[in-house]
Amino acid sequence: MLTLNTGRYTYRLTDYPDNVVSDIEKIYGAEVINQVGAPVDFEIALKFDSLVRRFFRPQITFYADQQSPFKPMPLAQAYPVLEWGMNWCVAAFDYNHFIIHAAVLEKDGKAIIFPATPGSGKSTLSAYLALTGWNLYSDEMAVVDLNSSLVNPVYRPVSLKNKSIDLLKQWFPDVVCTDTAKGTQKGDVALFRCVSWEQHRQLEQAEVVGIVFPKYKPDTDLTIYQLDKLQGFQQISSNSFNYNITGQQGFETVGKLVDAAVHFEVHYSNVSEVSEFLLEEVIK
Amino acid sequence: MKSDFFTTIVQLFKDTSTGAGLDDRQWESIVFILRQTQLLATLYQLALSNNDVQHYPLYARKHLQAASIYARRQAQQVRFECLEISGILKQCNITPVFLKGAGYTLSGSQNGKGRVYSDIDVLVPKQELGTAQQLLQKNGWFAKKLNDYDERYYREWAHEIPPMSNVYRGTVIDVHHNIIPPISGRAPDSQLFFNEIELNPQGLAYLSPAAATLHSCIHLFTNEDFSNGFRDLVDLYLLMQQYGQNEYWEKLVILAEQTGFTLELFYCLDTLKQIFGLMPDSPFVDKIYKRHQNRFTRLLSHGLFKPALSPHHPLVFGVKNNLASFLVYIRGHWIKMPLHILIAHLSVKSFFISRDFLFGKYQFDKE
Repeated sequence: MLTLNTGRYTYRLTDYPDNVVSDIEKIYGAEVINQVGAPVDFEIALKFDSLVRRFFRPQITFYADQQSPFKPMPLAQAYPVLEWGMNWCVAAFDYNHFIIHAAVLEKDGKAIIFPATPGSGKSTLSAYLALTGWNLYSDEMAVVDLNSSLVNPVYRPVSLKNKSIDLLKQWFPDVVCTDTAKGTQKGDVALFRCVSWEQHRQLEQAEVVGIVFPKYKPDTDLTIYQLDKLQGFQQISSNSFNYNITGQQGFETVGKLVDAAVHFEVHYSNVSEVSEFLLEEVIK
Repeated sequence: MKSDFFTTIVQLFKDTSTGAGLDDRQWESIVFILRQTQLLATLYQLALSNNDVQHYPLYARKHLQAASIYARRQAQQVRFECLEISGILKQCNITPVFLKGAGYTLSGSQNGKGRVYSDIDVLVPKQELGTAQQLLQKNGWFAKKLNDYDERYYREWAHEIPPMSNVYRGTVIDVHHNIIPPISGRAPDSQLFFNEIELNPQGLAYLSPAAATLHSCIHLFTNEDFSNGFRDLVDLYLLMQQYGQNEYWEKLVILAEQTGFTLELFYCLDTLKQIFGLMPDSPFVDKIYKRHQNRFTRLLSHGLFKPALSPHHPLVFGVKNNLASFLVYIRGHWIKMPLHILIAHLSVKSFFISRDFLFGKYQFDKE
């Protein structure tokens, strides 16, 4: 049994195969493991469900208390499954916050939300930014306060897929990451530690000043499109996990976010150019 | 230890102010148990109306409130779907009666506040069943694909048609023509329930408090599956707390007599007495006790229903509870199906259960 503190959410992992422990230690660091007692927000587990499948092509199932939201997965994918499960808990139970499928990075108290479409290179960009002086608030979910519309930092790794795994290792040879889990639902996946607990603890709720849709296009020059508020509204609401559940409060939160932010779509092949653009035009 | 949290939770529903005295460690277990039994938002609404919620620890408030936001959305959706369904069926002058969860929400009863649902249950007259099914199909409600065995189960033995879900919104409705399967030989004249309807301001129909209570009681105490049993028991407790006046007890008992479910009503009252300490002061209730209280029925409500109705969460549900719940499973089928059908049904079901345990739940899914 071990507990895990991700800042905003706490978890107790009651059952797990041995192969995830070293990954958890590597990614989160010993200082957040078993640091919290009761109460935790979620009790989770990775269990062998079927007798046969414990020994023959072993499979594990993610449990949030008594619920198992996903089908069983191969044992080798246990750690990515755990990370997805931790996201699922937030999406399934935290309706006190407006939650957007997006990365969030911050500089000087100003945050930018990067809503995701698969293949947009969002995670590559957020890992790059986080390792070059920006503060990582989240790679997968922007957790926004329903009343203040401020965005919260969450202590979680960046999940990189396929080719970007090697790319990141090339750019940052010292970066800490897990082994690559091959052939998951989302392709090959590895998790990268892009913020330390010490750094995370300094972070505070931040105002969202920009909403930026990154699109990775090989061999193109940086191209910037300014979007209007309506497009921003549409993108934020359709990328939200709980826009329909939070109802009027959610609607007003999107309104506030969109009003206070500038909106861009960025086509890029070079992440450092994006970083420069963001510093000059969005953070200012 | 196992029964401790059960007592604490029951106490919370009886007197929501006790929540202020619980520490974070206790609240963690309570949040897990109530999350599993889908009662977080029900407790939130109850504590809110008693002005107790603001005295709860932050951890408890955070989780109760989050659940209540989800429940608020469901209530909104249910009201919308009920209007839709009602509108569709009105084309052929059918007035659907909304049962259980949806009915509670429409009626505005305390147990409806914060209630969450997996489907919407409606009752229509048996002679209108075919028409209702066609109208719903025409308007985007389709039955899910069933395996051959389940298909036959519905066609031959059930009191409802297979669940239909909306192609656009995924909402599921269960259309009933009776409140209990006819194969049980105990299905009452459903007209008795149609006589007991009330309308909300939009003209949507639901059962009167007494009829809603009896339906919930019959549903629970003839059921083989108690996995939502504690939630159903809380429904019954809150209904009786809110409406328990002389007239209500009279109507409830008379309706139980007319439909032939006084024994189920006895089990319900006796279980609530033991778990929640509920003791209605009514000659009608005394009559039910006089008629059904004996060593055998008491054994059943103490030894079987009470342990089986504990929330189905490992923190409060142990070996004894599991055994009781297994016996309830057998009993539920026993009273609803003739023996030869029951044996066949249980063998088919247990084959699937052991197969899934060996090979995993999804091994045989058609992709």
